[in-house]
Amino acid sequence: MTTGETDPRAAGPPMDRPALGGRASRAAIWLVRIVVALVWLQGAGWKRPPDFGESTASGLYRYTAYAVDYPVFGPWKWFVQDIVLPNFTAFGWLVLITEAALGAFLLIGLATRFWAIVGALQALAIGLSAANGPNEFGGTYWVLVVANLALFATAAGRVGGLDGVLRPAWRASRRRVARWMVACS
Amino acid sequence: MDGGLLVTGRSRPALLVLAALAVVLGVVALIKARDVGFTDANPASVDPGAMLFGTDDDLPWGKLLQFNPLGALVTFSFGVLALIGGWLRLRWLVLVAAVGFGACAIQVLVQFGRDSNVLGGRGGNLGVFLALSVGLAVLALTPVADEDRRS
Repeated sequence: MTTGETDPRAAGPPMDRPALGGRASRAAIWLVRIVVALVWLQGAGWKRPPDFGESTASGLYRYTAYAVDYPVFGPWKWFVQDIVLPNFTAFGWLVLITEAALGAFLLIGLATRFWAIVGALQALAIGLSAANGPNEFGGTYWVLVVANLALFATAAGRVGGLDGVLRPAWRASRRRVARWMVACS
Repeated sequence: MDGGLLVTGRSRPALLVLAALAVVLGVVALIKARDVGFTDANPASVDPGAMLFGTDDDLPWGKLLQFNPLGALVTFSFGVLALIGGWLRLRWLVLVAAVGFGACAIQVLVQFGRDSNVLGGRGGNLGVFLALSVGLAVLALTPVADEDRRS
């Protein structure tokens, strides 16, 4: 994976290239990463085990059931109705751990490009479940999808994150895990 | 590698920042949790939204982190350990703090939502403990590149 500065398609006069190297752009993408991380941490904060609201039709269960009651996309409704809701406790744990990990790794900027893709997929899943729910503004979820894609596109962990600190060491190493981290950062 | 004892090169400033953030979080949590039981299962929240923008703490999505005094004290203590380890370049001490934060994350997984929740954390705490544990461990364990060793 490469960013714009090494891509021959980005060649041309400097003033016409994407503005990813300037101080303001770097500060902005750092801010986006931190805010997106806090959004995921906040999301993890209200998922309450052990039943995640199933017994009272509240919390995560209620929002997940929106996919059936207020469907956005037919195949997703089927998936939630026949696969997710019958196995809700396992699904709840998966969501809690995924969102906590998203918050954690995006917050410190470690393996950021990998977790940004995970975040975009998770935001897509949430949007497909809840975007048509009562009192929901569906655009929120699509903004979260593209915010995560922006973190991927800009390799945001290299700005004020551990990816930026550790990539030289990973690139110098021949170990497989180091090569994975280079690819994920 | 440097024999496994020292934290050196580019990792050290990042490690000090991460440890300092843990110490600050612990102090803020101690202040916020001063009026609740020492091991209260559902204690005071530490919510940047509420603190910065005055949003309603009672909204279910308004709470980011929550701590009882024990959880705050543990966070502060492991943060101080990591800070001392980073300052004195003692890798093993940083790893002790990383393992400690990892244990805190496991505690949240095991007890959050139950009657007994000794550190008083929630899902957001799980993420923060995971960030501190993984971040400190990766910074302490990543071998120093040649370009860093010269610095």
